[in-house]
Amino acid sequence: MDYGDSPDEAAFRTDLRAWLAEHVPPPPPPLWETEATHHYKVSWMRALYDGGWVGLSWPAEFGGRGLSPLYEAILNEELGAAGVPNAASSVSFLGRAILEYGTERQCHAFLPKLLRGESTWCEGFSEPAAGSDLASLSTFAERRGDVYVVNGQKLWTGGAQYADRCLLLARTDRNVPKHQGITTFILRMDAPGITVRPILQVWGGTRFCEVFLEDVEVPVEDRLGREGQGWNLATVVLAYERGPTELGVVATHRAELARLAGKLSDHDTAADEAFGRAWAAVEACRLQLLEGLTRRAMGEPPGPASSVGKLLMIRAEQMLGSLEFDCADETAVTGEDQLPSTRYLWSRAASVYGGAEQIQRNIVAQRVLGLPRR
Amino acid sequence: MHVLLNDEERLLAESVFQQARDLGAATPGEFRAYDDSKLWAALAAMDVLGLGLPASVGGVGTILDAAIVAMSLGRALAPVSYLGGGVLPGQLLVAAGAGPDLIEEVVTGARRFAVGIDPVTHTIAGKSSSEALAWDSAGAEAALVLDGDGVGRLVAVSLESASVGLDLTREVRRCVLGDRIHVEGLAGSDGGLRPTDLARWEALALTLLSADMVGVMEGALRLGVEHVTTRQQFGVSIGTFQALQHLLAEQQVSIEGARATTFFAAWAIENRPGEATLGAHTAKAYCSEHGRRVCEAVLQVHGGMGMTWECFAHGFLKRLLSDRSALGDERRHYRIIAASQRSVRREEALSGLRR
Repeated sequence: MDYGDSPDEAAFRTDLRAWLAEHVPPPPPPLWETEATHHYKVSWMRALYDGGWVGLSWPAEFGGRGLSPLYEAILNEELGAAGVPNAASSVSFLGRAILEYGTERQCHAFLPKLLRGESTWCEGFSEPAAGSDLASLSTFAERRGDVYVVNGQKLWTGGAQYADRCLLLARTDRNVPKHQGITTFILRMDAPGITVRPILQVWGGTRFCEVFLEDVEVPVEDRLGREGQGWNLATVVLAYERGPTELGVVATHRAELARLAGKLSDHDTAADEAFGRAWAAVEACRLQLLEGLTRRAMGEPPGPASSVGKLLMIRAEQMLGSLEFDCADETAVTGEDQLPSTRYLWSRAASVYGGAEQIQRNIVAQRVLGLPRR
Repeated sequence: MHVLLNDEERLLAESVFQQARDLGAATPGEFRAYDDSKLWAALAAMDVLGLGLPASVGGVGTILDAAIVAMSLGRALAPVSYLGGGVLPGQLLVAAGAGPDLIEEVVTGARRFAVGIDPVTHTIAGKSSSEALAWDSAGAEAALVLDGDGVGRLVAVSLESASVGLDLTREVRRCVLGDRIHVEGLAGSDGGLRPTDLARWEALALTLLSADMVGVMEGALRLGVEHVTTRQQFGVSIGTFQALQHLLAEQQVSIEGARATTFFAAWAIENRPGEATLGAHTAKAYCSEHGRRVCEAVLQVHGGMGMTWECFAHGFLKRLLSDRSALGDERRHYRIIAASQRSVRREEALSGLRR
């Protein structure tokens, strides 16, 4: 067992820190300023790309460096500690989908731009009637010669208003079991028939959108993988949504804990216990993620155990969000300081996005503990 | 970075677990009259009493290995004083510079001592202590306490006979602080324990207690999963009900968090001493809080059977509560963590001002 860096990893971290010391931008805008946040992230991604820090674990052929996923984790850990956003998660998991399922042409057409931050993607998975039961999605893509004609509606599509491409799941066959009739497409967001409507969230931002699709034409060459492969692809993508990126989130949690420690008074044992509890939850999450990362570095694909990591993440995130709100004074309620309530409310979303807490528990119960299905 | 157990470590875990299960109590009714001498001899023969001690005193392996053994014994609900009567006094004797003959007798299992803990300060009892408890002291001839406070030479004091304690698998005895016993080689050659030795021993004790709790949680959850899989109600196995599935899934999540914090704490003692103390408090707090919930959940899924003596579920809960109380429960460790981070921030603020 070794929780430390290997000599190569340590050298990488040293170089990265030196680069960050020179290039870290001012702190990001607050979460509720969606537009400013988007532009901030895009310019930060380009700076990271110019520094050579994007696509570390990608093949060199597509502009990557062919390193182990551990280096992605180190990168995200250092970015989180420096208080700047992670390497865009779209790069790590949407890119992964193209890498694993894309044709030669698709890889060359999409991957380099994705890496350089020149192209922004969104993920068109959930629908109004297909949330936790994603496989029951009903957006339909009908083959007509060289194009598919898509009709339907997507929901919770993050960043759809800024994206130029969408990784879209649509049904292509209604006559097979629901998991087998789904296909993935790469959709141009400027195609005729697409309407994007941002949704105002409880913390004030408009990070998520509704996307309406009306007779949208997608060329056959923009189908990703074969017809009916969509469900497997989505599973791979969702699994890669976790892992190295999450360590970056944990690093931001650690930075937040350090800030909150400065707010603790000397004689409030209840606050001390709440702080210690949040600290332990963050550590448990971080250290368990390292186990998953070790498995990933050994070449094992992410499995049901990643749901355990997600559940530990939810606990840490929500404990911290509550602690932040509880440590705040009256300005959190008067609205003079919006940060504590925003952090708190955002933490409530942690048990919803990326597969609701209850779905993760089903996975752990049935696929980790082996409890019987009904 | 690589944070998974290797093949030898997994083999160690499995072989200790098998031994403990073969030689342990077959039913909860056997715990009270259980004689641990066979299991103790088996552990001594497996050379696990000196795990993590320097090779110069006959030690082999790492502290992580000792944690792995503790986990297996917890998982098997083994009624043997591996920690309180073996590893913890052994480590203390070595840190305090006790004579080689005495250490050898402890490492080989020929003699057992316990460590006297002040129930108020939750550290090794010393000059100012008015009472002391010897946790997990089955088979111990005396308890080790300090001549001074937090530092100094070790002295041995006698132990009261065991009462019928909460934990079915380990004894907690009171020490008679005024009744010193001469133990050859105990005084050692130098000044005894220094504050850094004590800090290391405490980190180690907290970590190994955490390891025992991780094992207890694993054993308890296994029992709960087996029960809900076989128990039928409403014509189906109750393990198909989502309420129980989610309850047990949450416990699995806690166990993985507990195991991860414990492995790191065990590794840090030997490899990153600067982070060992914080890591140990984190593990002990996490395991104490979540371990109790895991055992309570397992009791719950057993229904009425969980309230009977003949079901092992209470054995896990009681052992967990005993581990949890030793050296302080989660409330103490959460407060220590908060205090440590407060002072880190204060230091940073001060150094910022100086600049």
